[in-house]
Amino acid sequence: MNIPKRCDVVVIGGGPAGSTVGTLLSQSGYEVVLFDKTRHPRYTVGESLIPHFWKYCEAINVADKIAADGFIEKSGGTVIWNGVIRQMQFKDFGYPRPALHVERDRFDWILLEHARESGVRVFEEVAAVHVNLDHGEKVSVVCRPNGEKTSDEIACRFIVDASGQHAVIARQLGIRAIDDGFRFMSIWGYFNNSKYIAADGRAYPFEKRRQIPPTTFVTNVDDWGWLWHIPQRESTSVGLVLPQQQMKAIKGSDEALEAYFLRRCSEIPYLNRLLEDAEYCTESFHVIRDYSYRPTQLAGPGFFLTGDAAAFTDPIFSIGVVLAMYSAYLSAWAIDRSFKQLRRTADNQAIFARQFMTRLEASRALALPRYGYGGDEGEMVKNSIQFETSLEQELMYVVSTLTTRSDNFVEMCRNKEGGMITSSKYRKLEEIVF
Amino acid sequence: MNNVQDQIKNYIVTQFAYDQNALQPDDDLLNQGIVDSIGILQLVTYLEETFSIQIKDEEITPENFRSLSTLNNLVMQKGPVNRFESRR
Repeated sequence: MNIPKRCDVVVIGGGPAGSTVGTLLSQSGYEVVLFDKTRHPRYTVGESLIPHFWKYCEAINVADKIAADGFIEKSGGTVIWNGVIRQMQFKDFGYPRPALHVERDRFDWILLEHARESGVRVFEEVAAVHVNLDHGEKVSVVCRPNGEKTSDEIACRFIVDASGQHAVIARQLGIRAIDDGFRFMSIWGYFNNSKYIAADGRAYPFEKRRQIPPTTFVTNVDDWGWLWHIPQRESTSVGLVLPQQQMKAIKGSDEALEAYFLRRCSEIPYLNRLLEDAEYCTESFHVIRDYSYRPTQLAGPGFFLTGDAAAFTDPIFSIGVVLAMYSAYLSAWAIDRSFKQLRRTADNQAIFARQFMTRLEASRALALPRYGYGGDEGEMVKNSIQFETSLEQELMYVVSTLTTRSDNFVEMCRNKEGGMITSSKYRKLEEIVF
Repeated sequence: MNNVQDQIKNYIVTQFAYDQNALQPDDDLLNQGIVDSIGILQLVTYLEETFSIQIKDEEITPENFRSLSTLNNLVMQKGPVNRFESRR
């Protein structure tokens, strides 16, 4: 494996953020080396995408490949929260291309292959174990091929951390703040032949999913937990997100957790009916112990944090991949400018940090239960909202009314004149028709 | 004569494929989606390079980027424009 001794930018991680920033910089003529500790295609979760991701795909010229691959299109969302049924459709908000349900191994692999074709030197099964920052003067990454005892070191001008929840740099520097009140566990599995809910409020058999697009179905579970139901090409992903506290009651083995998962699936209203004729795929069970965290610093001498390597909240509104690609785009912009005028690096990083942070804070305000929005954070969220198009503001408003997660967010949904943003672009239903 | 505002208008109309005749000085670029989150970054670079100014991170606000006239004010308040040649 010929890992070069130096390059312009090292990207840690080959998920959507890493591929996006790597491709953008390579297309601008920079020498980019990317490390990923797995071998792609590799499984990961986070399977629902909102249509905002397309503009980043277009920016890196990969949109046609994604569109041609045959991912299931989703029309919008069905949210049943405390028994109230609401639906929204993305086409009401003017998005030219559809939202998707993706198999992430496939989606991420298309992006990574595209990065390679764009000139990024990709090294898989190589872990970034340590970064040297040295005030931005002598920046390097220490990396180690899996299973080997010796490391290599590669010098560069900038490092982009796109390592997802591994959060290599944030952990090394201790710049993550964990939301102690928000630890949760995600447990999920896959079902064949599950029915799904379409945008007309009716349940359809699995085989209709290409003719009549599904919605992503979300419903609340217990106090602030929730469930997802995401029909894909071959099967349907069903997951529960529950407070860590609650999960402690279940004896820790994965078999016990799987049994618990299946029991809950059979009890949760509407879900149990969707799964009536479905078969659970044995061996498809997954567990992640998660917690919400935010960065105390988004960029510093020699480095930028993107995507989950910067922050993770709760995937309830499917914005994780979009936020990752946005922050990757932003970091590529800042890095390009910094190469052209080195003395303006700190200024560019300040812009990166502020733009990313305001959008991060808005996503936290939407998803975190009982989010307190006093002071600076509240101002950031309001700013973030006012940067958006009026259609996008309506979407944010609609999303914030679908659950009780975003109670405080609704308060901040004000337009530039200070008036409330409202929208009627959703439907309330009496029932789902089976 | 092409002043600062005209040059910004030309850039936006070309870069974001918007109808030249429809774009008014006080039209809301953000609300109408003429300039989106990626567009703002491109606009910042354009303004800096074209008018030899530096835009600070705290100046990238919805208020400053709201319209052609607010963008014009942002550029004008950053110093003399006598270096700028008329461009066709």
